[in-house]
Amino acid sequence: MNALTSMLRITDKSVSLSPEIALGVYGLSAGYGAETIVRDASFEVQTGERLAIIGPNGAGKSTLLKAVLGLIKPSAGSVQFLNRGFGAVRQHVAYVAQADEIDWRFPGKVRDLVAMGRAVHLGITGRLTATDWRAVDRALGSLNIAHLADRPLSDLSGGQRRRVLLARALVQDPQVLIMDEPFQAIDVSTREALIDVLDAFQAEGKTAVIVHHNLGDVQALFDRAVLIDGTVASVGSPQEVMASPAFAAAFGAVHQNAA
Amino acid sequence: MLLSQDLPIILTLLSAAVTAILAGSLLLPRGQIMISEAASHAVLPGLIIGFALSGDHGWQVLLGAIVTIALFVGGVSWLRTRHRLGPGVEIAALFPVFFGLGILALSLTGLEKTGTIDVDHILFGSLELLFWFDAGTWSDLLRPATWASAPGPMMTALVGLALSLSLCVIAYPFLNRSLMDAHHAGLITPVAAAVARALETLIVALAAAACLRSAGVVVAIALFSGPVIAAWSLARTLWQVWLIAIGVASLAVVLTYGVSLATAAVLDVEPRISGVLALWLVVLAVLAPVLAQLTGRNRPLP
Amino acid sequence: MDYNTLIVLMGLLSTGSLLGGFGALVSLKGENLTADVAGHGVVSGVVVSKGLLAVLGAAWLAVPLLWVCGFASSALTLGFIFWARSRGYSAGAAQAMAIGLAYGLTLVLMSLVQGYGAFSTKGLTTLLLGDAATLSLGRILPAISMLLGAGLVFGLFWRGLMNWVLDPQSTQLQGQSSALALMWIVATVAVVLTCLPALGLTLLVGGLTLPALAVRPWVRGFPALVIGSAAVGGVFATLAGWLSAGIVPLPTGALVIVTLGAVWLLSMILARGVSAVRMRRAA
Repeated sequence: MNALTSMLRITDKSVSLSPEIALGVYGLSAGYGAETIVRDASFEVQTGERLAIIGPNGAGKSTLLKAVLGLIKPSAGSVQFLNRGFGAVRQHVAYVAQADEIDWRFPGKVRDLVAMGRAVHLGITGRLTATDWRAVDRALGSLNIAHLADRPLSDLSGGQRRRVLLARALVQDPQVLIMDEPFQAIDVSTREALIDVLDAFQAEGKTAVIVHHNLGDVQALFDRAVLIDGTVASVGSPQEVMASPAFAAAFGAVHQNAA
Repeated sequence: MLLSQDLPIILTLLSAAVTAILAGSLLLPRGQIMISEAASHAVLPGLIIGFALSGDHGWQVLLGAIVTIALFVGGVSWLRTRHRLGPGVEIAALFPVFFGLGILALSLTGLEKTGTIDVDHILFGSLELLFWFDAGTWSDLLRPATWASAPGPMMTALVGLALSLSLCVIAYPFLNRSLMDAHHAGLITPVAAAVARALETLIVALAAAACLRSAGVVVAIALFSGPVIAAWSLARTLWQVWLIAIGVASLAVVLTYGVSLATAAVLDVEPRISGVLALWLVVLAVLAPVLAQLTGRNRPLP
Repeated sequence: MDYNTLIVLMGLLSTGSLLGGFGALVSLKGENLTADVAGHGVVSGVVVSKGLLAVLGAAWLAVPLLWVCGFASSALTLGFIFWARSRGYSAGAAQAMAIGLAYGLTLVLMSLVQGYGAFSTKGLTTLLLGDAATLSLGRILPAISMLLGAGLVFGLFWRGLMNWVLDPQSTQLQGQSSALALMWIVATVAVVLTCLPALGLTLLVGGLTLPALAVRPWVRGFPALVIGSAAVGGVFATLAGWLSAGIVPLPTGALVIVTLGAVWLLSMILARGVSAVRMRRAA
């Protein structure tokens, strides 16, 4: 039944949008081909929380994220969004990929890319209505990029690309936002705009799960953190995770002291 | 213009070119334009079986093409995701096998002996041999009997054009989203993304069949890629890519006709139409970015 | 077995082995489609050489003209790709335009050369699809010599070749990169020119790719892959040639490629079966 609901993209009325657990990962193992990169990972994210996924390079953060979203097939374990499988609540979960996963040379306008976020709400013809376009304009405005709406995608700078991808996620009106390193290589104003949007998102009681690279601001930006080092090495508040032996083992004592 | 000779050539060439443009515009942004070269060869076995079952005009010819290309594209995707053979290796492995099967099918069915289709036509096209005897005047085109006797390659190209154009217009939002960010489309609307991929395969099949029957497989790649590459430098949306590419292809057809007439008159040589067309398409693809730069539309190259 | 059949089978053995062995290197470098494009470039050169030969009328020039024109036209095609890439075109777009250019030129040149009676559409068809049945001792000697030469080079330098194929950057650091890249292009064009009479251009890329894929699941080392591919290419091309000579009278080139495709498919199925059995035993 779940599969059918998901296939036809019918909104599942039985889904509660504010259960206690927004995301549950249970015994998840995943990798590429025969190589397992993340093994037996388990953690839960409370509704309304902002959670950082941290870990050294090659620890499996992005692999974990892709497995959670079903972009790569897990070899073991299960994932629950809002107490349901991802297929049943697809429309309530938005994903912001790293900017380099898109070919920005495609002949399209910023407005068109952002409008992709509305696809989950569209009818069988796939055409956008005036309401959808208003939502697109609102999302662009909230990230201060309304003036870019008719620009070709190829004209955007790195920071603008991040804002556009976040606008696309917001226009979907999700309950859970999953982001892969959104703060990497951006200017100060883009960073501030992203933080403002995330604050507003959280104020609505919504959940964000973010792969984060910069250990220096984890405490300032996140409620909780999960340390990934081939598996879930530590979970807790940012202070607890950074004080854990697993953190020292993953990053070394120097990083631990600096953090 | 001699209606019974020039009209079928122009109609066939333009229809095949526009169908190929639609297919090429779906392949180029995915970095898979070389699939068009492979598909135009790989379509052969399906076409031959279709011919054997139905003759020159039957719908089985297009159905055969669609089934073969679905198998080919499915095989390439399967090898790419499951076996990770290396960039382009799966295409290089599969298309000669499909083409080889087509050549064997041609020999086994004995079609070559009937004059319906032969290796030369498959490779270099049969544009020069297109005659529409019943279309002597423009008014003849209004009679159903005239269309019943229309040349097979022209009808394949026209039906292919009608189908692919309808599919592209109806499914434009899905195709556009799927091309802009395939991962995102697959994640949030997996069924729509899968339908878009199936439509892409269908459109590539129709284009491959139309090209093989008109300009021949050897220059099909120029039809698929040339106009779209040229349009890429000037367009800002997928619609614009299609419109500009159709303009480029039309210009190339006109220039091809001009050169053919000029060389026939001056040098007494009639160069193969498909060859001249391929050259013009490449020339226009190279010149378009220069024009874009001169007019201040500095778009990235495909 | 009559003399003609023997010559055809020898031609297929040497052509299949040469393509299989060289194809293993091409596949490891992931340059199968580039080799295909280089091959397309050769064809217009072949047409020009036929035209020049008709004008000059010196039969002894046939082979030198063929090689010079073939190399020149292939170099022009590859040069076009390098130019397009340097301008910012993607690899696929550059290759697609290069093939369009090569074939467009070929067809136009053919129309011009036809006026001299030097070449015809049938000649071009033979170039594209091959004509193994008409192979003669003179036409298979280049393939046999090339196979022997390639075997000698491989026997002497296989370790260096392996380093270059697997890690081109290390040879770049040693300052040998451009010389090796040039030699690679020359070798590719030479193999294409040598194998054209038997298989033709369109099917040739299958001969380059399929044997290596069939052998890959069964071997571990680099020399085993190259030698195994050469063996599979040679043996099955000969088998297909023998079948087409008597038992199933079908076009030889196409039968060779379909046979190699079937061998690859069987190899994949067997490899999967063996792997499943091993995993079951290990469990």
